Amino acid sequence: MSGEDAPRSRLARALVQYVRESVDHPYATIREVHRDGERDLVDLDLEIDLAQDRAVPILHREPVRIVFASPNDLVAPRVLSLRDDFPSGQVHTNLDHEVDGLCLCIWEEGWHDLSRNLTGQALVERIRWWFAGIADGSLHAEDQVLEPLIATTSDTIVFPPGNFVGPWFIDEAHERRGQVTLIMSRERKDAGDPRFDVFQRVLPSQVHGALASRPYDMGGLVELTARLDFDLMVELRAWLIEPERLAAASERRALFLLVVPKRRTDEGEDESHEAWVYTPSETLAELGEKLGMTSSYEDEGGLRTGAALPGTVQPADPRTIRLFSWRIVQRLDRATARQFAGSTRTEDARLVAIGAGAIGSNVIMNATHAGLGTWTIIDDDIVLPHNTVRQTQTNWAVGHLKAQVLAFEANAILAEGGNDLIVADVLRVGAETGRIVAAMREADLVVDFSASPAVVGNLADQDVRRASSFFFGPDGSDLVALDEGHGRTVLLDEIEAQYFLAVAACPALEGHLATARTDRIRYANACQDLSRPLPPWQVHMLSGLAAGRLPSLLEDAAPSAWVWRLDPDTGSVLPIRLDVQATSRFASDMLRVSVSGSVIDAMRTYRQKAAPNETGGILIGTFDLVRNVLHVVAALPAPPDSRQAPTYFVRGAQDLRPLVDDLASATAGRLRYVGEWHSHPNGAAARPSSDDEGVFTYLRQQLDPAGAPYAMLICGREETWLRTAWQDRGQVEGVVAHDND
Amino acid sequence: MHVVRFFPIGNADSCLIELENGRRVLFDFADMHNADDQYDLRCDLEKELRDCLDGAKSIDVVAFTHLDTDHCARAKEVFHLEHAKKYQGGDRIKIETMWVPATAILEEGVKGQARTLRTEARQRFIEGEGIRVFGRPEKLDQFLKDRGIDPKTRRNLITDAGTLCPEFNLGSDGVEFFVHSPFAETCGDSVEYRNGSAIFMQATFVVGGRTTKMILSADVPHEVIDDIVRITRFHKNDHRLEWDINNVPHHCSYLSLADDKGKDKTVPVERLKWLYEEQGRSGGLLVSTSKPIPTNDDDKQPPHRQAASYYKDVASDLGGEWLVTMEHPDKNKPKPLVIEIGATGSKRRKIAAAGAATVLGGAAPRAGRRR
Repeated sequence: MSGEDAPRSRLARALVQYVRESVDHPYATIREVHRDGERDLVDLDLEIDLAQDRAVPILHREPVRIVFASPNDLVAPRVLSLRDDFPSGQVHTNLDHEVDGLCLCIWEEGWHDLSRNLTGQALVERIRWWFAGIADGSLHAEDQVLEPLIATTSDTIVFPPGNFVGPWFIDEAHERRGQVTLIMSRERKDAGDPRFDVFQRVLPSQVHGALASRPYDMGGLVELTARLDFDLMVELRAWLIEPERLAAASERRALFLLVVPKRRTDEGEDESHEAWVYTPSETLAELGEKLGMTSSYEDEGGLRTGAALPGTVQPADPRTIRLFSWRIVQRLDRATARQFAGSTRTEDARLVAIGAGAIGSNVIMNATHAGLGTWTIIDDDIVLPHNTVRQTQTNWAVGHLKAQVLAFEANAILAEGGNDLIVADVLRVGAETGRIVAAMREADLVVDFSASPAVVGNLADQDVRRASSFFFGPDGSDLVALDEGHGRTVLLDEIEAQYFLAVAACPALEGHLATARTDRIRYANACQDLSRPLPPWQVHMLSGLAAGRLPSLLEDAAPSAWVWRLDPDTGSVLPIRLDVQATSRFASDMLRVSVSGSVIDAMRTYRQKAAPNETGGILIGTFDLVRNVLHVVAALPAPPDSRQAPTYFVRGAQDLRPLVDDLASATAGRLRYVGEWHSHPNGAAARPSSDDEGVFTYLRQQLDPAGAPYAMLICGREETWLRTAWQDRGQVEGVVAHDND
Repeated sequence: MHVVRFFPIGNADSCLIELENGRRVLFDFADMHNADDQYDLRCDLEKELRDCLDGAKSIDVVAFTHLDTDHCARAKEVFHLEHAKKYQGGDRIKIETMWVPATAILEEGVKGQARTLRTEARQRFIEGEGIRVFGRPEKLDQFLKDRGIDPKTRRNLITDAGTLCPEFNLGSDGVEFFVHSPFAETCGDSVEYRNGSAIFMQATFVVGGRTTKMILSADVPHEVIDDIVRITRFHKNDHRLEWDINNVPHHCSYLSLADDKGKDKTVPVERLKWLYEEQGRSGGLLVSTSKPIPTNDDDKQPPHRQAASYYKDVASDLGGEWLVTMEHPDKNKPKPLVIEIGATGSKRRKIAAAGAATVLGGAAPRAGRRR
């Protein structure tokens, strides 16, 4: 390629070379390569991949002009259709002053990024791909406004969420690189913006249908609104000669804001509103004159505009008044935020958070960004300087209440607030107790972020629909999520007890609680412990996982327990799902005991294996002295030195002590010895014999003085019998019927 | 998605249909390529076919619409034939079921490829398996009786015009084949009458509820098509002549439209005008399996520019395309024409594969194909 028409743009030359010399058929042919001043123009026929059924009438051959405005390719080439009947009303286009025409919105990416990989072939392929996508409808999401979109050259107008019916006032105006962004408000502010005067009308309601073709000039807009039974010209003419308009007519331009209510049927209610915003290039004075309504004159005070006498100003063809379309965006409410976040939820979740610290603040902010729902945040702590490293509260908030700051910042995330706070400690009865009880009862989910086992226990006792607990492991690299599921068949403290057993028994959880400090019974020492560095990225990563778990947790009916283990050296995360067992529960006024399903299953298995002999072993569990609760989570098999016979069982003690010590040390002292079990053979009732009563008396003598609860379980063929006693709390007896399988 | 391929093999036919469920049908096989001629732009059909088979050793159905060389060249070198050992072994491609017009069995005095294929068809017909014969002339009965075979025992292998081929159905294959011709009266036994007694079919594909219809019309002259239209309309079966893809007959010969070539554009006889102008569906494709369309009338053989001019206008009116196998995508570099059949109808595949540049916005062609 040489001579007069050789493009100066390297990309244009690459394009021409590709089309002319490609070894394989490029599905493009050059019509003409020419110049227009500084610009290089390449006219092409493109062959488009088209199926028979097309969303937009694209042809097999589409003639286009590619305009290279910059010889060094610093700006994106513009692509114009050379087809007279191109369906520009149905595709992404934007009016471009640079090339004086309608450009196809080919590029979504920033040019600086795109240009690094854009060869001549890639350019042709991109444009062909764009046409093919337009034709098969894949470039338009169904609910996507057809245009103007991604028009990086257009000005932007921002509305609050909800419908577009005003009245609207310009709240703020920003200008950057010649592009204007207007922030609209329903409240009038004194200043407004000196450049625009808002002409706003609500058009008659329309039955749903494609309002396809958008106008690009005043004539087109008048025609379009006429089809919708609205006489734009009459309204506009009257508006232009209002004194407020005339006063600043030579400085201001009109901002046409037209709202079309839409409904499904003639008789139906309006369901949605479509807004169109246009600005003509003319000032109000020039517009008035072109419409034959005003005339302007110079006097010592400058240019003045007045209403013209009828017939004195000849109106111009409204088609000569070009309109520039605005990019219309709305601030987000929660429902829209959910869409952007990829959530399938259709309702706001009502959520209560206990704790506004490291995990709580990060999860609440993250979930609020995703539009999950509204939070009531319960916390009575204040923000201290060191909190700013791991929590979302920042320097300005030091000394303020954590809950207050968090609710304030969460309410600022979207255009829809609704987050509330209660300044209180849930474990202490006080002035706010009534509000706490009410908030918890109303909530879809109460989430404990306090890292306090006492709060887990407290939640298990409350009247809530569903409770869960999220906390970090003591070294800040593990996240634990416990959840009751729908219907609370297993309570949160029971799930916690099972979690402790898993920590001791599951190899994948080795070391999970190893760094726990038994002097401070909190899980997440790291968050409170100033001597233990915990980088914010770890807090964010684990909080992110927690926030990600929340919506799926709300969908899951079953109770669950998860641990995610982060390796800070590699960034890898190991997810571990723990098995949550059903429990059997027995209670008196003074005492409550739960037995995990796995305890019954284990005893039955050992019993079966030992038959016809009796067998037995010790019971492992956790207890809460304040709440008077005992959870039995494991039944261990008979030590090897036990004596087993068809009519008796004597438990041995070989290796038992170190085993129980290991269970305790793996769980920061939470798992303990809580009693004895043994089996009765077929034909013998699962009820205590005199020997058995002797065993229970022995337990009482040994354990009552130490202050710990103790249980005795007898596993028979059909059922398991239980008795628990605990100092002055008295005793509880009960029976668990076995599943027949 | 089903895929239909036409190959650039000059004035000759070969159309491979690959169904979504993996089954394949090949209509004619004419490997016309001359390996010794470096300027021969016709493709190496055997290689193209083997590439498509991707290692498969057989084809479900191979139809020979008639036994002219431009519809069966090199078939005896490529396919495994049951009737003689010398056509077996190696990497020959098996034909599960062979489709032929009755003429292919009955005609006498044939030579070369046609004779070999006739022998194969006769053998399969006599053996009673691996064949479907179209048209039911009495002579076919006589052929069987002469060989001591009760014609009733071969009825299931014969399909009449106006019925569906039992090898495929919409439910399990997403396609059905309706046979329009040959009729009993067009099934001659003379070599001269091959074109008139060739197979003329309509394939109806369904993908995602969208039907796409293709007419395969071999080399039939306009008189036969006229009859087909007349009979189809008489039976109120107009939909059996609708089309989204039309493989126009006889390499774009004017004789398949009318007796009169016309100066610049052939005007088809009335019933054919209906077939092309009223039965074609929006965005439809017309495919000529032929050499490039000439700009003059020096060559008496098809393709004829006047007929092409007519078909091109039909395509244009439909918002579709007129495609010529030796011109696709470029007459200097013809390549197989690949048509995808999906839920939005037919779509010609246009993948520009030049250079190493990333092909934006489209899937890369399949890699790792066995050769």
